[in-house]
Amino acid sequence: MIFKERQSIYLQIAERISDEILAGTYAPGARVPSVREYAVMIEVNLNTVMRSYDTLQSWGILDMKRGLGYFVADDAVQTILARRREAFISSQATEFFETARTLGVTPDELAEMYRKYLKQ
Amino acid sequence: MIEVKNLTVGYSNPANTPEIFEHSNDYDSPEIVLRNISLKFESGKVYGLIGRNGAGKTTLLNCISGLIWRPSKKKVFLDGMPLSNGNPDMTSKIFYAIDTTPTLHIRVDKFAKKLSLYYPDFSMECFNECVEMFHINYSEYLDRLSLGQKKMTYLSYAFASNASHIILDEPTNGLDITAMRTLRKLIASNMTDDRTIIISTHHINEISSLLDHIVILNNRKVAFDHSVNETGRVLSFVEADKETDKQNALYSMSSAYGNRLILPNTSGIDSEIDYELLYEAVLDDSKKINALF
Repeated sequence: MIFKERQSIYLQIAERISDEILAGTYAPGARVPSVREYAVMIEVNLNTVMRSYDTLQSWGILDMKRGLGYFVADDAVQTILARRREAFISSQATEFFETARTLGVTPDELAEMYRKYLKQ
Repeated sequence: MIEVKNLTVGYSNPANTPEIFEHSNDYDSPEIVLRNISLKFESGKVYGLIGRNGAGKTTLLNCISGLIWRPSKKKVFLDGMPLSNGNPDMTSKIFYAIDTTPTLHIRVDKFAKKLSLYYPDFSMECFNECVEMFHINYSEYLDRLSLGQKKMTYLSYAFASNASHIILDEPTNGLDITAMRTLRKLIASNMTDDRTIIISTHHINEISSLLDHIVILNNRKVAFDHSVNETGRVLSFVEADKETDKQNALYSMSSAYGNRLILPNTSGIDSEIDYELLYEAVLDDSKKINALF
């Protein structure tokens, strides 16, 4: 089993900025730090942060306004949550089910556990 | 941009200093320090140069900075022109912070003034910002500074020089944790599209987040020369239990969990590079790794 497989730094930064948008650090419509400001803050190569911003733009999370910088898209929060839901179902949930099967946890037990968890 | 074309360096003269050869009939001779090296250092990129002790890193840096130079041997090109160390227009385009910084009895700020005569774009403002970030007292004398402080002072000179090519030999030697972070911030903030930064280091993990490109020297040759983007796209670096995927691995190293593996990347998602693992894999069998690129 593969325990640890980390995505490239530019994708980690894209996820980090997505987290910050979800946490409200950068609100929809607000300007995010420039590529250079962000690179200095997290001590990372400029081109790497550029790639993260490009990626976020292609995902519809950031908008680039020429000469002004990058802004959080109005529907960024919904876009991030939709992406994360998709990633959860296609990867984390699959891994979780795989472990459940290996250990002989039944679907009924899982459903019961999840119901209990939601009540907490 | 600095370009190196078929560079061979060896010892042959009575003075026992390395010099550039036209070519060599015997690349395996112990006299040879670098054998037939060709590399390109492009503008707008940060290069990491790694290799064992004695792999030839410093010799290579000495050549691309013009410290080792022979007018008749055109092997190193600066922005397309053969490098000439007698030409101030060229030498002012390169700042080379050597590993063992010279010990001079001169004040930190006075030496900056002297350097500003060689570097027409030298910025005192940038220099003052740098020494402040590193907490260096600029009225101190260079020869009274500790190894780490000397390193930081030379790094400050390097960035203040505004040279388009900044070459740093082992910049992290002697730096404490805070100074290391300052160095990373300085590189991130001073990088521009028309600047090339070349960093040689043994402590690759400390500067890996800044790199665009990785060059590994081994056995006096270039063993690896690929961009970070390409490396993460072609190779996948994972940690797995003892049984998984070991037979498909290009390289494996045992770890607390089982094994750290390099696999061909088939996921379509770029992987984060495990530099230590990549380095060991390249030293072990560079052909196997390079075959995937």
